[in-house]
Order: sequence, then structure tokens, then C-alpha cells
Amino acid sequence: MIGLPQQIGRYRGLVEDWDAFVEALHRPVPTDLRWNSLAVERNRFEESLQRQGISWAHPSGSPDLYRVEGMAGPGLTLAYNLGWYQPQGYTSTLPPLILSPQPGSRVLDLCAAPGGKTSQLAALMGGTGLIVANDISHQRISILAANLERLGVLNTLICQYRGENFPERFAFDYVLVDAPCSGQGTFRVDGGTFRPDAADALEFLSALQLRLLRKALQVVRPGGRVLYSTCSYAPEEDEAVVSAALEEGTADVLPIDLDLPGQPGLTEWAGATYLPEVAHTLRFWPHHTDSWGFYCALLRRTG
Amino acid sequence: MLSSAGPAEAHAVRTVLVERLGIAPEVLADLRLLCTSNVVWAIRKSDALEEALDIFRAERTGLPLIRRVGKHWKPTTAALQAFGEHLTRGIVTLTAVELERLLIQGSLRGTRAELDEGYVAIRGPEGIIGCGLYLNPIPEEGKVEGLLRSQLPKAQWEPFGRHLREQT
Repeated sequence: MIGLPQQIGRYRGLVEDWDAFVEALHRPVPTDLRWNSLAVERNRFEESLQRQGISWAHPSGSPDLYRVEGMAGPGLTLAYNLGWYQPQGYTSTLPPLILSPQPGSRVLDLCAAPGGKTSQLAALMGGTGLIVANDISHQRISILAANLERLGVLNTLICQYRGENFPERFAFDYVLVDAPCSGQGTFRVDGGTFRPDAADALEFLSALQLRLLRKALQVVRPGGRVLYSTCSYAPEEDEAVVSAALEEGTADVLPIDLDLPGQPGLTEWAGATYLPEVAHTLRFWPHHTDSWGFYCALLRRTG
Repeated sequence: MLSSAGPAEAHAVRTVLVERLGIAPEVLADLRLLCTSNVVWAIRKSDALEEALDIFRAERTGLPLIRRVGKHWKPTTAALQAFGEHLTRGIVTLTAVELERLLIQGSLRGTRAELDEGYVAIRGPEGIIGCGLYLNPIPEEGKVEGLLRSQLPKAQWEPFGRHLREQT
């Protein structure tokens, strides 16, 4: 367990094939590029990769994602600057894919910066309908706006509200809550963006996450869908939050009907128990995806 | 905060994108124009958008169209890329080698008799790249060639320019 912080080590009894998990944490995360269909046809994008001598494979269930070999830096190409792709980790593309908004729909991305998922939602909608991309931070909104600008997103309004205070008078068909989290899933032994101090704030984070998920269930129309995701392994930030929201009686969990390398959500952890339907949510481990750790729950508003 | 674009901003969009760069007005017809102090923004029209604009305090849209620089309006690189296939004039076409030189040096000398001085669209082998500023030759000042200056967003493009410079 040398090199692993205590916040990761505590999952030893939980992770299937611990050695493979630890080994994955010692590997750098592969370079994944999401083709931006708003800017260029697929064949022209692929030709541009071929001309640079770059080979690729598509990770499971994500046909627009290109796991590339032989690229010096994903931001150092003409194609990047033309908005032909967005560097975006495989598991980070799963929340929009699972939410799967229909063209012409009304979508809220409640914690939108830096905008990879927002632009993916726009592409999935063929640039139609309306996305409201919200973020609390002025600085992060600048990054979000720069990405949307580069990617040619034409159906998005950008707002800066504290997520819990987002106005409620507009009914959305879909809401994405990619919640602020401890980032445990981004931990790598030699890198990653995981901040151990954030992992020490699980109580604060899980309370914030529940408030955000509650807000999402208030602004989505009855029958509308909410995708809750984090890049954390912590059940306190994942199943516990979803289970608490379900207990309020305004939503149910939908099974995720895609061929993805996820494991069922937990129904108990460290003495706590969660509602049985939380088993329909998915945990993504790095040794199964060769990507960041992630958690996704698809909910439908019932009341 | 965004507000509806007025006649002056709509006129500026027509002047820059329609008259100078030759985009057909109908291409822009399904865009709602909004503005902040020095930028006109675009977003696709929809009923949902009108409802949203009444409720939300929006900061910007995903696509800035034109930006005020002093007394002039400049087309954004994002707008030129987004509507690149609809541009019919005001275009400087560069070879791959010329484009690389522009990205490395930030400017390129060469007379372009077909162009009026002002903002232009730069086209490379991959299509429209973004915005440039073309300045006429001034022989009496010894400037016998025109000058094309890159107006590509620096924060975004500079790492790529530096990368090209390091490779040469």
C-alpha cells in the first residue's frame, strides 16, 4: 500500500481485485479525445489523426471517444484549436451519454465548468434545443466559456448562480449534476488532481451534493431525468447522497441500459445502509476502465 | 449580464459578417443576438430560449460573434470557424507553410491586391482558421508589402505556436 493515501486505502475490502486497482493507480491515464461533431465530420477528424501518425481505439460504449497513441500533447494541434475535439477522459464522457438528452430538449448543466460535458451534451443534441450551463465560480466560467467558444457551441446560455439557489421557474427535461467532490477518482500515484484535504471534507461535500441533487429534482419536470455523478469513490458522496434524495420521495432510480464496464452501486458501507434501488447506479473503477474513477446515478422525477 | 442586441449591434453584425465577409443574411436568421458591453453574442433561437431569458440572469452564450475594438467591430475566430463554410469574401488563403509561419511569428508579409484593409478570415488547408487583420502596403513609408496580423485568441493559440516554434 506504499504510495496510497489513507483515503484510497480504506477501499481495500470493497474493490474487486485490489492488486489490479493499485496497479492501475500506478499507470498514467491514457489520452482520450472526444470528437466534436458540431465542428467537423468524423472522417475529416480521423484523417487529421492519421496524418499525424496517431492510432486509436474506442473504449466500450463511447463511439465518439478516441483513445489515442502517439500524441505529443492534446492541446498542441491545429485540430484542437479548430475545436475538432475535446480532450476528455473516458469516464468523464459517461454522464452525458447516460443522460442522453434528445434533440430540441431543455437541459441544465448545474455545475458545468470546465465545459467538456456541456459541449458533449450540445453535440448529443445536434446543437438544437437549449442548454443552460451554470457554475458558481466566475473564474471557472471563463474556462467554460473559452471551451464552448473553441468548440462552436451555439445552443448554450451561461449563468453564474450558486447551484443550491438556482431559480426554479423554468422546467427542464434533463439536468446534469456533475457535483463538486473530493476527486478521489482522479488520484494517481504520480499525478492526478486529487486533493487529500478535500477528501477530509466528506461531511461538508456530501451535504452540498445533496442540496445540489435536491435542486436538480426541483427544476426538472415530472418525468424528466437527472444524472448525478462524481469522480469520487466515497460512498458518502455517491450512494449515500442518492439514497438520501430518494428517501424524500420525489424520484426513482432508472437502470443504466448501456454496455459499460461499471459495477453496481453499494447498498451498505461501513455500517450505513442505502436503499436497495441504489444498486442500479454504477461505479467505475480505474482497473476496469483505464480511466478516472467515477460514479453515475440516473434518476427520474416522479412527483 | 446579457441583454438583447439593439439596432446598432445588429447593424454591426451585418456590416462585419454580411457585407465584409459575405455571409448570406439567411444563415444568421435563426440566431438570437445578445450583447454585453463590448461583445455581441449569438445563440440559436427557440421558444425555450425566450422563456429562459426572462427568468435567468445570463452572463454570456457559448459563441461570441463580434467584439468591439476601439471604434471598430472585429469578427471573432469562433464565429469565423462556426460559419466558415458560408464565408464568400474577405478571405486570405494560406498554404500550410504560410500558416505555420503566421502561427509562429504572429504576422506575415505579402501584398493581397484582392483585399481591402481591415479584418479578414484566414483560410488554411483545413478550412477557415480564424481572424486576421490585413494592412495595405504603404510604399511612401517603405512598406512595399501588405501585412497580415494574426488575431487568433492568444491564450488559446500561443501554446500551439510555441510548439511549432520549438519544432523548427
